[in-house]
Amino acid sequence: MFRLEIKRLLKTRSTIVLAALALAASVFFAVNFVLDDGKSVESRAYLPYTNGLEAIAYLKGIFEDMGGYVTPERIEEMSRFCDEALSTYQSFDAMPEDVFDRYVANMEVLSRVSYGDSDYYQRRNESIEYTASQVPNEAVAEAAAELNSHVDEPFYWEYGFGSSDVGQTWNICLFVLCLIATVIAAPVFSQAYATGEDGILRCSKYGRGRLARTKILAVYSFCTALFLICAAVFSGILLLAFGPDRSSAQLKISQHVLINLNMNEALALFILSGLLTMLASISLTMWLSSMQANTVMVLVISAAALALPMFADHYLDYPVADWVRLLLPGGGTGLQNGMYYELSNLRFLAIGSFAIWTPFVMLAVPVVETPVFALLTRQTYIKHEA
Amino acid sequence: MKVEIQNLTKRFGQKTAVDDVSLTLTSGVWGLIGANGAGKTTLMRMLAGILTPTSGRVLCDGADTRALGEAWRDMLGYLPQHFGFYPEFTVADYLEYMAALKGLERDFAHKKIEELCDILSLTRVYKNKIKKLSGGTQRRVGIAQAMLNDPEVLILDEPTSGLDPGERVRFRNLLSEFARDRIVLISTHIVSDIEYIAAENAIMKDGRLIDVGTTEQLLRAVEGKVFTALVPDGLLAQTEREVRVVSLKNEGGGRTLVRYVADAPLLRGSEMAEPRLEDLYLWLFKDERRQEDV
Ligand SMILES: Nc1ncnc2c1ncn2[C@@H]1O[C@H](COP(=O)(O)OP(=O)(O)OP(=O)(O)O)[C@@H](O)[C@H]1O
Ligand SMILES: [Mg+2]
Repeated sequence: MFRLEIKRLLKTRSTIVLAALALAASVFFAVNFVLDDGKSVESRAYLPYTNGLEAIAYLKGIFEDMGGYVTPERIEEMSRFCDEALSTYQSFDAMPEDVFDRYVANMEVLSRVSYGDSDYYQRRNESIEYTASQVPNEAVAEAAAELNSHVDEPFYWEYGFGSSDVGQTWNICLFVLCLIATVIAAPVFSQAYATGEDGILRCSKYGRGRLARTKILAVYSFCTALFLICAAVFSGILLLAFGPDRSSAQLKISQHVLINLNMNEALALFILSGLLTMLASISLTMWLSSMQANTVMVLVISAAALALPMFADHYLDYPVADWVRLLLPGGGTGLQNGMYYELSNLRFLAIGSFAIWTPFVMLAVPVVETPVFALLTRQTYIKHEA
Repeated sequence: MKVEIQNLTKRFGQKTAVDDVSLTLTSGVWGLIGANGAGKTTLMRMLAGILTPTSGRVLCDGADTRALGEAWRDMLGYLPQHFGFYPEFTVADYLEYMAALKGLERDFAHKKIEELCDILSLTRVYKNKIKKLSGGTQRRVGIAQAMLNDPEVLILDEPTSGLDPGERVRFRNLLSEFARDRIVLISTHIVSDIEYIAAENAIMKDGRLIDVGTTEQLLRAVEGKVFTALVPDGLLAQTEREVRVVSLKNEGGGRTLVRYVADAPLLRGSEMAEPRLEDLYLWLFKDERRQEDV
C-alpha cells in the first residue's frame, strides 16, 4: 500500500514539477550566496573582486594560517598589527600587498570581537546579562546566565562558509521549501473528497485508518526525502565553495549564542530545525486537507499559517508575539524568523519562574505538533462524511 | 448470509431522506426502485457505512456492521452513484491500487483484474487514463472495482446508467452468475434492468419502503390496471394529459398504440395488457413528474 501511495504521489505531474522547483531553488540560493556573499567579508575591507569564486580563492589564501582560538592576547596582538599598519602606510593603497592581505585577515577576525576590545569576553557576558535583564522576569536572566556559564571560552575562528548571511539565506530557502511541501501535501485528502473518489476508497477494507496512515506516511517520506536532498545540495554547494567551518557560532552568528556550537553544527541545526518545521507545517496542512474538499482553501489557510509568524513580531507585543511565533507550526521558517534569528536574538519564553531559551522551544514544538496533527488528520479523515 | 436493515432513518436538517426503513436482504439480486429523491442513494450510503444513520442499524448475520468495521468492509463491494477517480490514474493503476486497499494478494489481484477486465470489456482501455474514458466505460471501471474482492455484499447505485445495450446485457449476465450465493443490491431507474435480473425488489417512495417482493408478487398490484388502446394522433396530447401513459407506439395510419395504467379502462377500445414492472413503477409514482429515463 505504501509503495502504491508513493507511486501515486510520483505520478502526479504537479508533485514532480514542485520537487524540481524545490531543487532548483536550493541550487539557486546556494549558488547565489557563493557568487554574491563570497565577495565580501564582515569587516567590509576593500576587496577587488567582482566574482565570488575569485574572492573566495583569495580569502582562502589570506586566511590560510588565521585559524585558531581567539584569545585576549591574540586580540591585542591583531589590533596592534592593524593600528601599526595603518599608521605606517596611512592608506590601503600604500600598503605592500602582503601587509594589506594580513591587514584584511586580521580586521576580519577583529570585526567579530567588537573590533579589538581585548575585554571582549567580559563585554560579551555583560551584554548577555544586560539584554536578559530587560525582560521583567528574573527567571530569564537566571536561565541566560546558567546557559552562558556552560559556554567554553575562548572562541575559535577559521575561514569557512559561516557568516551571518548564511543563516538568512538558508532561512529564505527553507521558507520556499516549506511552501512547496505545503502545496504537495494540500491535496492529499481534499482531492479525493472533491473528485468523489473518496466514497469508494473508504468503503474498502483498509480504506479508513490504514489508508489515512499510509497517505500521511507517504507524504512525510516524500517531503523528507525531497527536503534532505535539497538541504544536501544547498550545504554541499556551500561546503564545496567555502570549505567547512569549525568557527564558534558566537563569532559568526551572534555573540548571544548561549551554547557551544560551531558553524558546521549550526548548519546541521538549521537543517534539522527546518526539517522539523516542515513536517509540522505539512501535518497542519494535511489536517486541513482532511477537513474539506476545497484544495485551494486548504492551501490558502496553510500558507497563511506559514506566513503568520512573520507578522507576529510586527503586530503583537512581547511576550505574546514570541508565543504566537513559536507555537505556530511555521514558526521555524519565515523571512524574519527561524532558527538563525532565535540563536541571535537572545529570547526566552517564560512561564512563572521557568524560562526556556527560544531555540530549544523551536526544536521542541514541531516534535510535539507533528504527531498531534497527524493523529488529528487520521481521526478527521475517518469521521469525514460528504 | 443475511443483512438486516433495522429501522434505518436519516435526516438532513428538516428533510427526512430515509424514513424508518426495515428490510432483510438474503442471497440474490435485489432491485431498489424509486423516483428521484426517494432516498435510494442515502440508504445505500448508510449500508456501505459512509453515512452515519440518524437512527437504526444494519446487522450482518446478527452483528452490527458499524462494530464490524474492517470485517464488514472486507465483504463489501460498493459503487456510488457519483464517483470520481484520481486524475492521473490509468485503469490498471486504479484497479491495482483498489486491490491493495482491499487487501488482496498481488498475484491473486492480477488474475482477478484480468478476469474482470475481460468480462467488463476493459482490456482495450487497460492502459488508458480513466479521466479520458467515456462515462459508460468509467462506470464499468467502477463496477470492476466493486467486484475485485468477490464481495459477499455488493451494493451498486445505478450501475447501468450510461451503459450501452450490449454492455447492459453483459452486465446482467455477470450479475446473475455472481449473485448465486451473495447479496447484490442494485438501484436503478431503468426498470427493465431489474426486471431481468432482480429476484426481489424493494420500492421506495419519499424515504419509505412501500413494497417488497418478487417481480410477480409486486405485479399483482397492477393486475388488471394496464391497458392498451389505439388513439388517433390528433387526440394524443389530450390523452397524455388524461391518463398515466406508459408508452406510445406509432402504428401508422395516423394512429398510436397507447399503453397506460389506470384503475379502470378510460379510453375507448382499451384492452387489458400483461403488467410489467414499468407499469407498476408508473402506477406507484403516479403523482410524480414523469422522469426522462423511465
Ligand atoms: N448530503 C445531503 N444533504 C442534504 N440533503 C440530502 C443529502 N443527500 C441527500 N439529500 C436529500 O435526501 C433525499 C434523498 O436523496 P437520495 O440521493 O437518497 O435520492 P435517490 O433516491 O438516490 O435519488 P436519485 O434517483 O435522484 O438518485 C433528497 O431529497 C435529497 O435532496
Ligand atoms: Mg440516487
